[in-house]
Amino acid sequence: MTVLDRLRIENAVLRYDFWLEMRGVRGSRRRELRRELRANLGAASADVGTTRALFGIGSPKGLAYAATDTNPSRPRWSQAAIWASVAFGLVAFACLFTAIAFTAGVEASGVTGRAVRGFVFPWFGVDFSARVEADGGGFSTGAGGVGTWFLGVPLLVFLLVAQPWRLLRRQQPAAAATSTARARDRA
Amino acid sequence: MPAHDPQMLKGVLGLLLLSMLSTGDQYGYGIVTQLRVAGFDDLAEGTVYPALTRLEAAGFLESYLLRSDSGPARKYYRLTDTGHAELAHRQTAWNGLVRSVETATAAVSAALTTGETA
Repeated sequence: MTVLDRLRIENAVLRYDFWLEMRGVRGSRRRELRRELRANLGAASADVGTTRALFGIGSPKGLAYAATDTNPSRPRWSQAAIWASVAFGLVAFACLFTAIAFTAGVEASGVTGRAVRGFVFPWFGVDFSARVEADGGGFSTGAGGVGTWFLGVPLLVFLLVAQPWRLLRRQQPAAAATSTARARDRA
Repeated sequence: MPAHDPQMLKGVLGLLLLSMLSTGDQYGYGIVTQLRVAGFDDLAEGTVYPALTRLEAAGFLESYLLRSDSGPARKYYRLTDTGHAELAHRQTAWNGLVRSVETATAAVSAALTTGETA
């Protein structure tokens, strides 16, 4: 097996692992499933070639979804981290956009040589400021108290997506019995 | 050999896997090759591996790792006592289904034959 073949197999295994994580599969179980897929792909690759071996398993996402049920007692940490990052990016973009718009407003009003402060809806608690120098001498802009937004919104998104209260469902006999019955039905 | 109907295959996949494992312990790709030798050329690994995982989760199979000379350790499956019972149950259900289908199709075949002669 060439290095390229190993890389292709490892790429498929990592994508499989990513979707298992998205399904809420625990780390130890993911490691086990990863190892099994790697061994099976290795055997198939030696038998029919890497391309056909990878074609045989189809999409790693589909494979992960077919092999597992979502785990209702495990918080969705990874998904939460992804969405919190997206929320952080959106807040940063929106804040920058608002600051630029605020500065443009100050410039349009013709006030120069002094800092202008103000509130912009809906940035509650944020103090935007802009200073425009006369005759195109430059400008400066800022936003005070924006840290709450930068931390609060992503944190809120993280908690809502992760749902840490799922941990409370863990170790409940009724839930475990239901899960086992569902697994038997699916098999 | 003609391709199998995927829906029919899906219905009997569990029975096939349990049957294969009743003859001896085997790992994922080994089962795939056994099934291909048995005539299931169109059965993809992506169908077999999740099915094995589900059967294990249901308690019909148990697994262990065995070192391989040609690569990483392989995960071998074997039937549990529950798995043996499930295999017997599914085999009985399958035999009953085959009998019923044969009875029904025989009646239709007979009717068609009578119609043709008339």
